[in-house]
Amino acid sequence: MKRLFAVALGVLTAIGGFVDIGDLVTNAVVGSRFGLGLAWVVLVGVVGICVYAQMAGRVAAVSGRATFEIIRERLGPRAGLANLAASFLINLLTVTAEIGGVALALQLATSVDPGWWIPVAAFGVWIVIWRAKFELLENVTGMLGLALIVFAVALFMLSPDWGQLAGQALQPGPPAEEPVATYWFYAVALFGAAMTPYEVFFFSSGAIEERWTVEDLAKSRLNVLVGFPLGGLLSIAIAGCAAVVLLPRAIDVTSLSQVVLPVAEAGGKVALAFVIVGILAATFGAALETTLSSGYTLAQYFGWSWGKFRRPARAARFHLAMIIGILIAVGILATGVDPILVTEYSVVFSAVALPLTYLPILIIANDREYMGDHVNGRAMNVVGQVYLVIILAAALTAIPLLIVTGAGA
Amino acid sequence: MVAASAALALGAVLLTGCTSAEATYDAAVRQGVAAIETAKLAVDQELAGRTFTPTAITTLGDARRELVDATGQVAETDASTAAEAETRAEVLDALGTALEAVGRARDAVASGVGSLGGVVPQLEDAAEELSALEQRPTPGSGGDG
Amino acid sequence: MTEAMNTNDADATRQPAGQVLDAHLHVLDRQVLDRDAVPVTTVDDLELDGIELGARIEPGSPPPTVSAILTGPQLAMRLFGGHAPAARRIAIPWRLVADIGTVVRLGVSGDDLDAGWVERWVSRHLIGRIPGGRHDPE
Repeated sequence: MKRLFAVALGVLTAIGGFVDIGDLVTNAVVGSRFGLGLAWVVLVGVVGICVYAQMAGRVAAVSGRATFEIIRERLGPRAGLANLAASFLINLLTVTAEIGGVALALQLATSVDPGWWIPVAAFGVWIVIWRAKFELLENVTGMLGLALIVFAVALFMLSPDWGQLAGQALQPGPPAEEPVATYWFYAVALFGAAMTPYEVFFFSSGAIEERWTVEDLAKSRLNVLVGFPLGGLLSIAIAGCAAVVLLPRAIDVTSLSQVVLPVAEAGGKVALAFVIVGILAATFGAALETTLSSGYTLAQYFGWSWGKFRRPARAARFHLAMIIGILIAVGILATGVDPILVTEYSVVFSAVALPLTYLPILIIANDREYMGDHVNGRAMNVVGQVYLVIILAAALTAIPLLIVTGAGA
Repeated sequence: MVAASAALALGAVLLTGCTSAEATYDAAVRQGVAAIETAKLAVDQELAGRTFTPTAITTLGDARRELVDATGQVAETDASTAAEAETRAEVLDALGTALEAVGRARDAVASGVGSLGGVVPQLEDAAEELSALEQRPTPGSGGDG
Repeated sequence: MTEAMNTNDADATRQPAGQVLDAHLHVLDRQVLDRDAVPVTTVDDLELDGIELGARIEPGSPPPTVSAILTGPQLAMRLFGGHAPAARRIAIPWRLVADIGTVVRLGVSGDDLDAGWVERWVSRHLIGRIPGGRHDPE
């Protein structure tokens, strides 16, 4: 019984942890403009992150090394440094977006300007990383993040025309009203939001922290293979709600308040309460994960002592790096920039950074020196390589599409 | 590789620089429609008790910000023909009506100034005005949306 | 002491006792852990004794030996070229290395090393000063 509970906990945490501010905003924007026309991207992204997360987890469990340690060893310090620089900057952008998301969610609940909430959110993120036992926080935010299931509930309560939704989802190519470039821009953005790079660094470092062995792999595989797809379904539900309520009213989503309109429409105050709690938990959890990711990548490249299980004085540079990262994020937000805009840019640049994260993982997962007998099987390699092509395509087209469409205007 | 990206950047600059005034007005009208419809929905939800007041206030504030942004874009765009000038005047007028209506709605919800129910017709008028502008075929150079 | 040799050494018939490692593959850029498995740094570079920069190695002469692990500013030198002045180099003497596997393990605590001075400084003057910094996580 206890084992069942542990398994359930893992799965539930994965669902709640899958959706972050990038998923919330991007799926709502896409739903309000394309209906479910880009739902296929979410499916592609979910399969991709499942494949790579379990690969990264296997690498960590078998080799006992975290991703960035191996990147430097295997690819050399120059390639590792380039990788680190790009990953770290994009990670920082994501941290900024998540902290901004927490502030926006608090504004939804209180109508107090998000500018006041940003320092509160940043401090909250820091104090948890500084002092709290991480498993506890991960479980709490993961479980509370489950409240986002209200999006799926709301979609049903709205009694949509399922045939019409299915028609949008199955329609190949963009609808008539939107230009082709914009369609593909949002496809790339959605892909970047689904395959968030920080997730992999966090996942593999967490595996080291919890000292996973090969036995733990099976448990993690279950969490990933069940949790992430359910999270993907949630993403589609977010888009669906926007498609049913916002699209017919020609409301293009540009703020978090619009993302929750369909939920209030469907289920009133009760549903709205759930969704606000869910968004708070999901973005806060994601803020924790991305901040830790930035610490992990720096520490693992330079060989610093790292880990949440160590007291901060014994992992000083690791903690200092994260404090500086949080301060930079606050600085960016203090300029008054719209956190939604930051989010939109962060998912696009995440798409650009994807090859940096995934190519090394694929290489190392095939390296017998690290993996012994646990190297990738043929099937896994085929899938991994197919995804590498997709990832490269997304990464190369992201910036041109960003420029040509004016960030999806 | 460097040459290709330089060409791309130049192309992008040319592309964005050549956005016609009409395209700007069209975009602003779409932005306005989205904002006023958001405001209408928020007000309906508040009146029906389907939302929390702070949430409605936030939503109306966001809608107002969008309208201010749209107004600013239009106001700062030069008109090069008489037709464009007229369009701009109409768009600014419609956005102004919407801005006022949303402002009143927010006042009613946030500070209890005026009756929220009374703002509803104003919001609907503003919405009609904006969507009429959207439907109408625009004269002059019809840029890609 | 473990001799690190380049495996391109033509004299393959003469296998020395102990581990044979490729310095580039097995030692460089590896994590260095101390006696308590706490990370100290990565192997940014290696210092070799018995060899002059740019000089030929005469066949039959005794092989150069590794005298230290270099870290710190040495990384920038390795990435971008150039040489750090001897006074600024941070070295871990090779005799402190206890084991080489997927990581390099030292036989001493990182607290006693030059290479740990940045960590100690940050810990003492910054992180340690923030309340709760010296406590284990709850």
